[in-house]
Amino acid sequence: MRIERELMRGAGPVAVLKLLERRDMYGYELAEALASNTAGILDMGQSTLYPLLYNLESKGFIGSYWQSAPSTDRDRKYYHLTRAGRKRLATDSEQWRAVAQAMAALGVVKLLAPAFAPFAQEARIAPTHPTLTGGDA
Amino acid sequence: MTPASPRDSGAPAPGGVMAFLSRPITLFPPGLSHTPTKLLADTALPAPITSLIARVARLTRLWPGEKLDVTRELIAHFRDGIEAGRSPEDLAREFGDPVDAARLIRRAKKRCRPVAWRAMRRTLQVALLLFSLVAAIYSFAAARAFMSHPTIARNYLDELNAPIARVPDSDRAWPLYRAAYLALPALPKDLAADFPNIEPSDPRWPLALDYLAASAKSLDLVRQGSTKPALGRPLSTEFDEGLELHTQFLAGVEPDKARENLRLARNAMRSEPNPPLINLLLPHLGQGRHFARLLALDIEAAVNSGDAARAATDLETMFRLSAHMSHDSFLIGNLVELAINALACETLARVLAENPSLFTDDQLVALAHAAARPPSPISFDGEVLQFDDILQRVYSDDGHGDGHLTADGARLLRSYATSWPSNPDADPWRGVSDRVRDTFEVPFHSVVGASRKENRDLYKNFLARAAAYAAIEPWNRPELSPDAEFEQFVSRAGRVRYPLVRILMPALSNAVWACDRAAQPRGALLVAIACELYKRRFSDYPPSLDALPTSLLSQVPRDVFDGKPMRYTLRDTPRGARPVIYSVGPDRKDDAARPIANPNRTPPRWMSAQQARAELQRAKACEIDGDWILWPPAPRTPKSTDTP
Repeated sequence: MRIERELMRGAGPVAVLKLLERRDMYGYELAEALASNTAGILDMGQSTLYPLLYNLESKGFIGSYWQSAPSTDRDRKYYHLTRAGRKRLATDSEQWRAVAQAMAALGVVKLLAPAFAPFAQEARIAPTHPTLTGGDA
Repeated sequence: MTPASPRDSGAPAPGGVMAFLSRPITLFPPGLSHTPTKLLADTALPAPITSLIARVARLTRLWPGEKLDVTRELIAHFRDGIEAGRSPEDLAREFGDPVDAARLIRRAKKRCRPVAWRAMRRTLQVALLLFSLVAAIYSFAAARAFMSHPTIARNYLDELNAPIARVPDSDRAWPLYRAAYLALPALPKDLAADFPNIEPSDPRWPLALDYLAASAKSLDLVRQGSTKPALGRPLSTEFDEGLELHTQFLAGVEPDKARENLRLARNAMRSEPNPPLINLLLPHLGQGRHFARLLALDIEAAVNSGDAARAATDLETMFRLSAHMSHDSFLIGNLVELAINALACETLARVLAENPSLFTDDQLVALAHAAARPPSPISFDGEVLQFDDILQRVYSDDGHGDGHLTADGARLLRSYATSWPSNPDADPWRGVSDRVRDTFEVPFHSVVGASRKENRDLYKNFLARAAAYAAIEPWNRPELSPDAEFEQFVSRAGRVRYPLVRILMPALSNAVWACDRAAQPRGALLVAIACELYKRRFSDYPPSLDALPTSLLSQVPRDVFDGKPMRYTLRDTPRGARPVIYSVGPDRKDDAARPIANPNRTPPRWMSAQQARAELQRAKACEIDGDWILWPPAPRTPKSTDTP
């Protein structure tokens, strides 16, 4: 399923921040995680991901550094969450929860589908929470 | 496995305002001297991938360092993908549109640049925008001003000359005045400084008599000319060669030099079929003033020889001559008429004060009638025509009475502005070179300056206000004069908006006051003549002006300062009680004929009652404290006696 651009514009940054909350990640790794953990729903092309990362960096929510990967001895650019990013993530998460609850109340979203379990676990979202089902409505 | 990040080892966190502001502009990442091309060449990535990365990097049009950073990251990305077992084609497809990617990456990367750079960029953008805006306005204004030209549709000179042309030759004074001028001998240098105030007791008196004798023909022609009903002089911008050469002869210029001066003057004033009205030559005004002074001197001689008839004729000639000066409807003509009329009144007053029995009753009555005729009211008709003529030479014409400033007109306007050195503020571009003025002033004024219609409306509006102001009795006039109103208006509207009006606006209040001021001694003269006639009938001067029968004075003239009848008192002198006629003056207070402390007894300047109250509270109070003595006339000023 393809997410509308406007919706992706709101969901993409918070998804990236959430992934970086646990550990530092490099670009390909982030792209893979977004695709696999969301069953491809938030799979954004690299032409979108990298500008998104640079935007978050320009706002000071994430930082970056080059480092050799121990396994390949090859340089990768890692991204990490900053203090400002952590605050922003908390705020955004709160808002997304409120939106999701409101949508659930309206019947727009249902309880978490099994396909999203890995992402929920990764992102530490309570399984009982409602989550987006996409643009069905 | 997650590597240990540098931020864990004490490196400053990317967040925080200070860190953000102090972030250096990175053209090249430290330790790297590669270019994206070289970096790609060193990788073992498949050709489609390297060309995709190279294309994206190129399309970003970022700084070299930023490009390199993007290239490195994309190389790492694709290598990770290949190591994960993905095919280059899949990776390239998943990457998306390289053009979109480059556009988004560029936008995002630029946001990462330092605040100082972004502020400078925004400043440059705003400056460029403003510059473009100004350039667009300038181009429009310059094109409009330089591509349009004034349309000179009306010949105001012909229009003014039309009624003059209809005057029969026999009714024209001008031919006689012209002949009188050409017959004038040169004024001896010894007389020039005090002319015509030379008394019989003066050592130069014989010289003055000689000059009068040599001027007899001129005087006779002036007397004849003054009896004509009209001046009848065609208006012209061309020099009258005979008059000009004679003027220079009178000024002591050698004939050859005089001809050369005339040639230069003619060259300076281009001859054209429809010349600007502002170039109008009015030599008769200066000649009229000279005739008036000559007549005043002749009156002195006539009185000294007891020739009352000649003195009376000369006085009546002066009054009639003065009336001819304002036949052209220009304000300057009004002012010259006032000046000659005032000289006639002053001369008659002096004769009457010093030789009260010289004139017969009939002569006195005739002179009183001549003096009672008020000068022509102040008129701005000529000024309006002159202004309209300038407008048609300066502004374009849209066919509906409006238009904008043209380049030709601006140059003409500039020449007018530089011709008025007494009003330097009228030309805010004074001192700027002609080329710069052509380049900037013309478009500037075309945009900022008022339109043709706005200029005309403003000019006519204030002249109409001045005419209305002059029509009100002086003592009932509003506090704010038209000049003050005009200054307030141009201050509010911006001084550069109405340069033409500012240059050409006459000194309105001064003109009105000149008329009122002249009315005071003239009124006092009429009262004095009535008192003299009263004395001849009743042996004494009247105890008050109420005692004067209306056959001698129909109405006591009013004091322009308070609107009440002129004040009168009798003052004891060695020759008996003599009348004193006076005005309360600017302070509006009757000080029982105590004169204002002014040794020259020059007329006070006009001020409103409110201004006078303020003036009295200041140190200069002595200039208005007291009364303005109108009769008897001021004693003659001592003459220089060092000349033989």
